Order: sequence, then structure tokens, then C-alpha cells
Amino acid sequence: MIEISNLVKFYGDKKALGGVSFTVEQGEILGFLGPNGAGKSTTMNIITGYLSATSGKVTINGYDILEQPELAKKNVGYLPELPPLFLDMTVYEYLEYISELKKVPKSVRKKQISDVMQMVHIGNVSGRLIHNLSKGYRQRVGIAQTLIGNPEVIILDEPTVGLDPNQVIEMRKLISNLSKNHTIIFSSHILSEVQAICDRVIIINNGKIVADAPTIEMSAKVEGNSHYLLTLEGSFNSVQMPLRAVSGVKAIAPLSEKNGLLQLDVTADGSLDVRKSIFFALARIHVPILEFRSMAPSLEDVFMNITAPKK
Amino acid sequence: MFAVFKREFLSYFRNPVGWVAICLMGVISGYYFTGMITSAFPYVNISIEINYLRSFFIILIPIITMRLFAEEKRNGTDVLLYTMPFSMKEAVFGKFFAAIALQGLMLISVFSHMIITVLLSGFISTAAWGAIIGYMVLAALFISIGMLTSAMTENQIMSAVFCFVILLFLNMLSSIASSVSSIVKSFLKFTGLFHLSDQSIYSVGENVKNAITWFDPFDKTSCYTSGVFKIVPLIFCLSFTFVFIYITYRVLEKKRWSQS
Repeated sequence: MIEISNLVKFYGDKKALGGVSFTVEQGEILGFLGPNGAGKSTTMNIITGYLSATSGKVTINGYDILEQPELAKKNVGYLPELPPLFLDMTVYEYLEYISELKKVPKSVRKKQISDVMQMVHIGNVSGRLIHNLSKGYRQRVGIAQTLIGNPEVIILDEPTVGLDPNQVIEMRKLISNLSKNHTIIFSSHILSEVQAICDRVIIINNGKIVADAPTIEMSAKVEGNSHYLLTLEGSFNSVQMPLRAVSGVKAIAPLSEKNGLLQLDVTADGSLDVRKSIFFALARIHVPILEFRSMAPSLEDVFMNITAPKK
Repeated sequence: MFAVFKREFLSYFRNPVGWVAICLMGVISGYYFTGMITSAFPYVNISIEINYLRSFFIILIPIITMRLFAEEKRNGTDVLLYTMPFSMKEAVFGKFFAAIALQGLMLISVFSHMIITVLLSGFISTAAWGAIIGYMVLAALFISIGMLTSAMTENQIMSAVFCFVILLFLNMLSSIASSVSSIVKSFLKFTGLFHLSDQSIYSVGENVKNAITWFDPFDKTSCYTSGVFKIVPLIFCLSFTFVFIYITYRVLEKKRWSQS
């Protein structure tokens, strides 16, 4: 369990964190979301002891990171944005070095390294120099490094950045697997990723937490309206009036109109389901619907809503 | 600490630095030894050879210390040192002893010369062992300086240049002392300040010179070469070594608070 209270961090005069507090329960996957420069990495660096906060307190399983650093750090595996790899070592040598640093007893070292290599699927490159590995493999070695010593908490700073789509999917699978036995904090600025993996999302912006809720509830946080995307065979002028007449529809905006096809964005009151009424309204004037998509408010919307500078 | 020591020591041999340093030392000492054995035999004095080798410290030490922390910082692997469950002191000492061990290993050619000397002349002067002690404590002092410059920068070349400048300065300390002393003497003489007699001016100058030379580590440890074992130079070098190791530790710890 991680408890963070009132973290403040200044870089010189610049305030990077302004009083961040949250708690992560055991076994939880927490997504840490925010635009670049919001303070994600700073927070993670402070939790892991790489940086010290200007003020505030971090405890990991009851151990304060400043007062009992060795006990606190024993419970944490950390993968920073740039994986801390020694390019001149082989994968096995590297993991051996890490287990020595983490003071893993000699008797279990070998077994643990091979277990970890199996878990992240790097067994086939164990004898290769890290220098010669692809970015995806390097990232996996980075994750393997966090798992050595079997820490309870795993902290991953943007682990999918720079990977190709297949690798991203694999990395997400890996993280989901890890969550069975570990508490995970995981930062990203890719929203769909967080939505797919995490139980809970914290959105941080300008060094402050702006939202903290379970992933499911986060979508509901977007206030008011729902959006629908329609593709019709007809002209904007002919459908405009009938659609506006449907109760609950607030606005209609044409997205494109060519070759007799019309694409519309319909904004409606979020509390009403207007789909049926739209269908019948268009059927009445003989306008066929070719595509009807409900744009449920995504995390993207929540994110934009919350982090966009207020006008 | 042992883990860091092991990694650091082995990494000298994963890239050319360790091999180059040992070979360079072998060539330089071999050249000197050959000269000595062909021209001055049977008066072969290993301690003079070791003394000669010390003058290459100002080039060799920056090379073997420059990557200790600078490289870790540039590659982002210093995160490991900060976030692993061990103290930064262990990392600092591990790296320090790795460099010391390499420095010791560089003496391998000298040991071979000692064996040759024993084979040829049947004995070896005990001064040679004293010279080795002097060599190692001086190396320890300079390595701690190099480690500090490496901890202060992210750029290996910058670290090496800084370290080189400091060692060069220390190397020139005796001549600097003489110049400062003569400047002080002429200043006192021409300004007539304090109305000192010529003799007092001279002694003031000498005192200034002695005070500065007192800090010259080369001069201080040179007694070991002539077979005199003194305890003061040993304490001098080791205590300054600890001071620099401690400052290195503080510099690295400070980074936690000030890094941007």
C-alpha cells in the first residue's frame, strides 16, 4: 500500500507539484494520466526515492521513503521513462547485477532470474548484449528489472512509449498479468491504454490532481451531452428540421456532405436516449441511415474537459 | 557495495579503458625498466621506476575515473543507485575501490620487473615496497578527486578535463609555491610595507613557499621512494581521500533535492 500526502516539489522557482495526495491500495492498478509536463514523472520519482519532495510524505507499506529508505525501496520496482540499462552487459548479467543490488539471497537468485525472464518472455535473448536488443526487448528487460526481488509495488513510467502497435498490445497484456500479484502504478498520456488496463485513474495537470475515480465512473464524469455520428443519404437542408424537432437533440453539425452522402454530428442531452426517435424521424422523411454510431463519452473527453485551459 | 564494485571493475574490461590503461602502463614502465637495466645494471632501483610512473597519474587517473558517475547519469542508469534498497555510500565506495583495483592491476608490469630484478641480482630493495605504498595512497587521493569531478558532471570528457586540470595544478604546486613566494618577497621589498629587514622578507617568503608546498601530494609522498617510511604523508593522503569521497557522496545526495 502506498500513501502519499501533500507532495510539493519546486524546481528552483518553478512549482512542479502543488500538494498531491492519494492512496493506492494493495492489488490495485492505478493509471496516472496527464499531459506532458504535468508532474507524472516527478511524482513517480519522488515515490521511488529518486528525487526528494520539497515537502510532503510518502510511505510504502508503512515505511517512510526518507526515514527508512532501504525498507521502503525493497517493496518497490521502478521502471523510469528511460529504462536504466547497461548496454555493455548481457541480459542475464544485468539481471544478476540487479538482484545483487536488491540483495536477493544467493540461493534463490538463479531461479528468480529465470522465472522473471520467462514471465516477460526474454529467455531467448538472455545471453545477448542489451546493446543489440530492439526497443521492445529493452523495455521488457526494463520490466524484468522491476520484478527482481519480487517487490509488491511496481511503478512504470510510460512503459509503452516508442513501441510499435504489436509491442504495445503485448506490453499491456504483460501489465495486466502482473497485476494479479502486484500493486501497479502506471503512467501514460495515452488514454485508451489507461482505460483498458487500470482499475482507477488519477488525472494530474499542472502539478495538481484534477480527477481521481475508478475508470468506470470516470466516463460518467463528463457532464451533460452525448454525441452521435450519423451518415445519411440526403442533404443537410432536408434533415435539419425533422432532427431538430426530436426532443432531446440539442445541436446538429454537418461534418461533410459530398456525393449525396451527409455526415452529421448530433449532440443530445446525455440523460435521454434519442436514438429511436432519430431513427423514426429520418424514416418518416425517407432518409436512409447508412451509419449510426454512438460516441459514448470517452476518457479522452474527460481528459480534454478537465485539462484544457479554461476559457 | 560488492555488487557495484564487481560491475564497475568488470566494466573496465568490457570496454577498452581497462586494457588501454594496463597496456599503457606496461609500455611506459617497460621502457623505463629496459633503459635502467641496460645502462645502470646492477644498480636497478624499482622504486625510482615507480616514482617515474607516478608522473603519468595526471593523464591516467582522469581516464579511469571519468566514467564512474558521468556515464551512469548520461545513460539514466543512476536511477538504479538512487532507487535500490541500499545506501549511496555503498555505491560511492564500490566505484572507488573498483578504480583502486584497476590502479593496482596496472602495477602488474612493475611486479614482473621486480621478479626479473630478483632473478638477476638476487635481491630487491625494500624501498620498492615503500614506493608501492606511496604510489597507491597517491593514486587513492587522485582517484577520489577524479570520482568527484565525475559525480559533478554528465559529460565524461568534461569530467576528465576537470580532473586533469586539478591534477596538473597539484603537479605544479612546487613551482607555483616558488613563484608565489618570490612575488610576495618582491612585493614586500618594493612597497616597503611593514618596514621589514631583508632577512625577515626572505623568511616570510620561505614560509609562504613552505605553506603552499605542504599541500603538494607528489612532494609529500616522495619520501617513500627513497626508502623512508613516514606516517604523516599516509595520513595526509588518506584523510584528503576521505574528504573527497565524502564530498562526492554529498554531491550525489544533493542531486535528489536540486535536480530539474
